[in-house]
Amino acid sequence: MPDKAKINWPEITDESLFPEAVAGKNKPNVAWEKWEAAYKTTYYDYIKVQVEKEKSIIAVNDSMLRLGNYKKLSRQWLSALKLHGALLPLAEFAAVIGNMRAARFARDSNWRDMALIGALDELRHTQIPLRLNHFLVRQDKQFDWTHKFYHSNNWIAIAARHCFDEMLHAANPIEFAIATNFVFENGFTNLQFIGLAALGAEVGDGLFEEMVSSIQTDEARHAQIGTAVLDLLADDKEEVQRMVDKWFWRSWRLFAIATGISTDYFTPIEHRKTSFKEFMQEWVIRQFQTTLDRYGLKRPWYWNIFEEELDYFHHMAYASAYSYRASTWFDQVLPSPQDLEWLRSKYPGSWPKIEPIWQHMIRGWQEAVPGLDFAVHGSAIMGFCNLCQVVLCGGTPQTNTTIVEETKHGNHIFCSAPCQYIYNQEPERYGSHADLVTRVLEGKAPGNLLAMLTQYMNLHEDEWGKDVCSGDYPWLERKQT
Amino acid sequence: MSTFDENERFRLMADCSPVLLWLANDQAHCTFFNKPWLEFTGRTMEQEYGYGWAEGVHFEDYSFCIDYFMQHFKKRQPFSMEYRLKRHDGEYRWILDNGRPLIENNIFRGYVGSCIDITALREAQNAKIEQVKLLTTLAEREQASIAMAKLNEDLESFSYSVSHNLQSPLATSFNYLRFIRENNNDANAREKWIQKTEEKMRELEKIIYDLLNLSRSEREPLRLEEINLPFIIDGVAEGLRSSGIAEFDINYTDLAPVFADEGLLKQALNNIIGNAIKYAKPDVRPQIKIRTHTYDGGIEVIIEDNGIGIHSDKLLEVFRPFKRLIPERQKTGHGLGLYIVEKIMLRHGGKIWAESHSSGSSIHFVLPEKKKAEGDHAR
Repeated sequence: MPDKAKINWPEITDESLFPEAVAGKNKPNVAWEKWEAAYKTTYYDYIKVQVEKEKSIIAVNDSMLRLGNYKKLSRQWLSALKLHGALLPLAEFAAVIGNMRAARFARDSNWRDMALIGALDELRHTQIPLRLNHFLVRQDKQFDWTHKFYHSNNWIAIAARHCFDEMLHAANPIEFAIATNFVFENGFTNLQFIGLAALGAEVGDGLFEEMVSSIQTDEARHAQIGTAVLDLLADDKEEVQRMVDKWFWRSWRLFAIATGISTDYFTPIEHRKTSFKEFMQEWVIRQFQTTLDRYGLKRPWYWNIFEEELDYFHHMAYASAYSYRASTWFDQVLPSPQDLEWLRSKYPGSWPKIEPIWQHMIRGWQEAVPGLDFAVHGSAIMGFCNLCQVVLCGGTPQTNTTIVEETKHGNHIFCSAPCQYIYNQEPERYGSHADLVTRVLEGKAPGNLLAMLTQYMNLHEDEWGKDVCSGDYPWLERKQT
Repeated sequence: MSTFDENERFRLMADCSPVLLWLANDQAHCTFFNKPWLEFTGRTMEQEYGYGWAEGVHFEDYSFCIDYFMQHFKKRQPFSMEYRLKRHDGEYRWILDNGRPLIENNIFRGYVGSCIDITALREAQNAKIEQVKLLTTLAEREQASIAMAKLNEDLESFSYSVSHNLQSPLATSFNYLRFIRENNNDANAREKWIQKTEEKMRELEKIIYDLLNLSRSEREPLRLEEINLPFIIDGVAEGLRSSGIAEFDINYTDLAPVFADEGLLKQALNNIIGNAIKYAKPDVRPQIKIRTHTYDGGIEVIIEDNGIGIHSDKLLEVFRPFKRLIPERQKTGHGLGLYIVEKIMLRHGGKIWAESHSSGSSIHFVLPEKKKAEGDHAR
């Protein structure tokens, strides 16, 4: 007997109600009507709770702006704010769409209700950073990228859209629940946002702290949609495992960039409690492994590659980002001797291979006058992975993990074995996407780096990333006066 | 006389220059582009400001261009580089860009740069390289390799000379502009320095004009025909007279017809006769005599003058670019005239040399006979 509280339309066939093209493949062996989430809420209670959360956000916002507290933040931390500020809102807005699709096409009414509330959550998450950072645009034009980023052809935006368009816009409610609710939210953002909020508090950024903790409380609730779907898919482990393998890797790529760089480089050293690797171990990995065990799932096949990457990938990504900082909308910092010492101690196995990059940059600045950013900057166009669209910075400076494969869509280049694997699972889905280099070769984007920044990425000199101190660090011994 | 704001004056001078000029501050931000630059790129000062100019650099040259610029900027060294820059009509043109640090009272102020369009010159060099590549026999290959080495050497030395010769009047102009600024209250002094600046600008204009002629002499296809020398010589003499040059006499007898490209031959004779007049003895009216001889499968043309002559150990040097045998201050010109003439003769498969004698000097060139000229060089 169906639950009386549930909404059904017995006079209409399931196929008409939930066409497989939109709702995902039906599974006759799955009793969708048994869908149950731990943190169900009603619309009435939801609004009551959210009103209180909004008040808290407004109060913190006022204090940051009215008291000018934001000016007390270090410039390198502001870059973490700008990076997260841009990555969050319109990705969250894409999640509104994903939730709305589930609110219509999920095969159970409780699930649909929760997805509807999830959509309201994501709408709120879109608006919080947009509203908070909007007031900062007057102080610093780079904050304009909070809104502008997702609409641009910036390389990070292309990578983010490549992932989120599939995960949030295109996925059917079943894959959406596993990709977004289970892997992305339950696996990464939920607990990690607690850690990030603590980091915000540590550096004195009440705005960031309030933003991520307020978002986290919503995530903790609607992330349960994912585990509730997994409860019903106990007999479809192979397919679930495939989706987990795909989405864990894709989520990791973006997290390593946003959180890895913010934790190990943009957090001033005096406020750094843990390294990104420790942070991942504490807030993500342990919990994710427990959850996988609970649902009888295995760790993704590339787990040892992932564990190795914890020592390298975000460092390589940051070295690439610093080398091409004008291609981002936030300023970047050159690690000081104290930073290098700290990094050496936190990454004893990998740091000796990475440090020469920074010694090279330091020498570059020693020879250049302050402000001469392009003297310590890349000038050739970077190469990008055909799957994740991130710069080809897998592996170490000595051994890059780039793989070239001849596919029916032409020669493709991948930053890593997992990206190659994901591509080959669905070549028709990914085959025709042109990475930035292909766009240049096809004449759709300018090949001159500067023209690419200004004319294609819409990044101009008053916004593009520079060295936070214009290379004028008190500890830097300059060779030329 | 109206008084200009000094910035206005600087801008006016820079805009009158025939070369593309830019200024950068001490952080490599370009802060000024003259009118010829803006007309060339078809962009506004605001668009070119800062690093905006580099958006127009061809993407294959961008990395080299920006790295080379920065590398020299860091060390505050002068540089000379070639890259392709987008012209207002969308075509990429090869630019020779010479940058020089501006140091005032030991303080580094930034850079000043001057650029010229060397596309035609490069095309001519490339055409030559292609020609060399076509030679197939072993001996030819060996010769080709020597020619290539020579070509590279020539190109390098030529680029250096161009850079030096453009830089010199430019640097002097900047000094004059400084004097103008310093003499803001003295109208006479100011006028004097303005005139001097104009002279330097004209000098630059002449160099550019000759460089264009040089590139034309190497690039445009040869149209060989039988030339009636007296007719050409009269035309050249008339042109020189109307240009306001000193008075002179020109005589010729029994001139044999030659086989050449009329336009290029005119240019060659213009440069040779012009030199003969320019290097006359003080207070002696220039007398120029022209005759021809048959010479080993061709016609030798001899142009003899009664001028100051060429010292015997300098007879080879007169054909080198930017080589002036008389100190710059005493004679106008910049030393491209005979270099261009030699290029024209080589283009025809001919040869050229200079001789000195008691009453002056003579220039001799040989143009091959019709069959040989067509067979070997009429490409």
